[in-house]
Amino acid sequence: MKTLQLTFLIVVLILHSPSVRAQIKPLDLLTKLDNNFFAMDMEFNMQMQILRKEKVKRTYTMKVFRKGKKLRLTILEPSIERDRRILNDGDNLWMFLPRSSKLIKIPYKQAFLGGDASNRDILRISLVEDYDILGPVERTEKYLILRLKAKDLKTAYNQVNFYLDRQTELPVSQEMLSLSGKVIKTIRYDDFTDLGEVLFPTKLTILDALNKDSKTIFTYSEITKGTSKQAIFFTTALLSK
Amino acid sequence: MGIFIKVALRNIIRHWGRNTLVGSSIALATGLFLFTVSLSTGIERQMIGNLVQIETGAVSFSLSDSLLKKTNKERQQKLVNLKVGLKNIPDVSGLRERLYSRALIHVGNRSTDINLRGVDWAKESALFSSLRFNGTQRKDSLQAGLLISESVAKKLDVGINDPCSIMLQTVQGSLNLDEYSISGIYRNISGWANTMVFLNIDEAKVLLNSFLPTHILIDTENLNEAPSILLKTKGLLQQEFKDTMDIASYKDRASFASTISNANKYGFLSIVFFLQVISFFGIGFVVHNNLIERNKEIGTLLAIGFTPRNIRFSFLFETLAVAAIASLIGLLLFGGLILFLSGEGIFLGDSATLIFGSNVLKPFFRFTNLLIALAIGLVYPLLSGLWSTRSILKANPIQLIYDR
Repeated sequence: MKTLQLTFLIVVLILHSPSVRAQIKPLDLLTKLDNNFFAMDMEFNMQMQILRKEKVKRTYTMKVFRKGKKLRLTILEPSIERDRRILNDGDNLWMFLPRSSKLIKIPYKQAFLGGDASNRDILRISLVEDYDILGPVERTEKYLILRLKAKDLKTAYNQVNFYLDRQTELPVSQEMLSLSGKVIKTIRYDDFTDLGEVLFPTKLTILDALNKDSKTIFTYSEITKGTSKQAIFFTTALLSK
Repeated sequence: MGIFIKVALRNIIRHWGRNTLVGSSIALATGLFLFTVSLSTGIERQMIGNLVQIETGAVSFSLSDSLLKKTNKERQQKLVNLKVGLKNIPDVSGLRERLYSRALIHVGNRSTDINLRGVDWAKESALFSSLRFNGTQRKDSLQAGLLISESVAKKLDVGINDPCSIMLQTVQGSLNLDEYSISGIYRNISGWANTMVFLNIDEAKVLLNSFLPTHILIDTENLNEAPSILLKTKGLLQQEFKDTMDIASYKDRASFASTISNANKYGFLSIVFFLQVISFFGIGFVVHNNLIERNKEIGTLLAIGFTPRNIRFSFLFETLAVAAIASLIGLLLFGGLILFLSGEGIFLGDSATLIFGSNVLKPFFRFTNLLIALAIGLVYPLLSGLWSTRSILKANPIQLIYDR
């Protein structure tokens, strides 16, 4: 009986020991990030501000629809670019130019509307598809660090480091690294809003490591979880309509 | 006939002022023709020379994307075999491996687009000699660090030993970034060449994540052999790799240089042509006036039995003698100027690269150009003389003697 009591005590102690309690499966964390931030079906308005030396140089407002592996956005402002539409159909990026009624394919690596983010940064659908986990989740005093390595050398950023809040597991920042391991860009996540089951960041700040004077801020508003848009809405056939 | 030659020579001295004027016009037109043709030849040679030494070699080819992305031992061995084959082609004097990529160079908050060139400095004597530096620059000091143009240095506001970073897309597609220091600054060459930043090939391979070079340049001492080398290289490429590779001789890649040099050549020649047309009528007018002033003399000579052909010969000989002396003086003066300028050239400032493809104009002396200029200097005054003395053949001696 005494042996049984001792075994039970050991088991309870092991289960409540910090090392076991702290063990977070990196894949679970990545899937959670994907599901809650990158691959969640949703609709929202997005304002993009391009800043140089803390002064706003350009501002865009757009309506974004995300469903499964597809994303479509329409520019609302400025008026000169109104109704310009961009589609990620899961395979390629397309842009519809309303003035000339032309549909053009755009590269993932191109700067998104001239800001510090590339098209891939903004129109990314899934992290799990592009990246593998690089080791266990690291713990620091403030953060959980999830290090990701690109599945192949075609991916623009060879490594991505996610810094998550140690308590809430919400993303705080994301570093994008070059093949040589140097930081090229940093994305900061702020101003989380409650979307029912998840907290969603409504402010993203993209900092260019090579140009410290440059910054791009994305602010999300009117966020709704899920979308009523049908699959055909996310095709090039309907991008011009 | 001897007496007419004597008369002609005497008349040259008699009408010294007039002949000096005609002679100056011929000397200027002939000398300028030689100078402009030499300048145009110099521009073409300089542009082609720069292109061959800096960018294309006599023949160059780029390795296909699929080969670069999927490098394995078998493909590397094929490249080694190919290089052995290329070196065995007659007239090939050397091979240069290069890595070419578009990139972004950053210093502080400044950045600019560049054409990165990974080069093996040990094999790049031709490239190094075609670059000019302020002060002395040792080739071995370029082994570590970047060699940039004055234009890029100005944009980034950097000097020797300053740090900077380069970002580019590797051959596979991912982004890469690394830090370097500036080890040399070359004087601006031309618009297209000023964006070039040279880096040691081994460091460039690491940055581009490639074991293989992206381009191979084939050199020869005799550029006329380029077509034959091109043909043989194509055969070797077909034998080793079934992939299609972008292969071309320097001439195929020199369309930009040829366009600029042709535009300059025709521009210069049109100026010279108009100068000679003016000179042609000027000489004609002077010879014609000479005839009118010497009507009595011509009439007397015809009256005492000399034929119109003999008299015309005298006038033509006079013109030809003036033309020959003037042409030689013009060619000597401008030939000397060409030889003097062919060393350092004429520095025109960086804006000149837009028009001439280079900021330095170096005329190039070619003996055939001198012969052509001399022939032109003799032929067009002769034609002008023939045209203006045609009236002698129909002249009436009585009318000429009594001409007031």
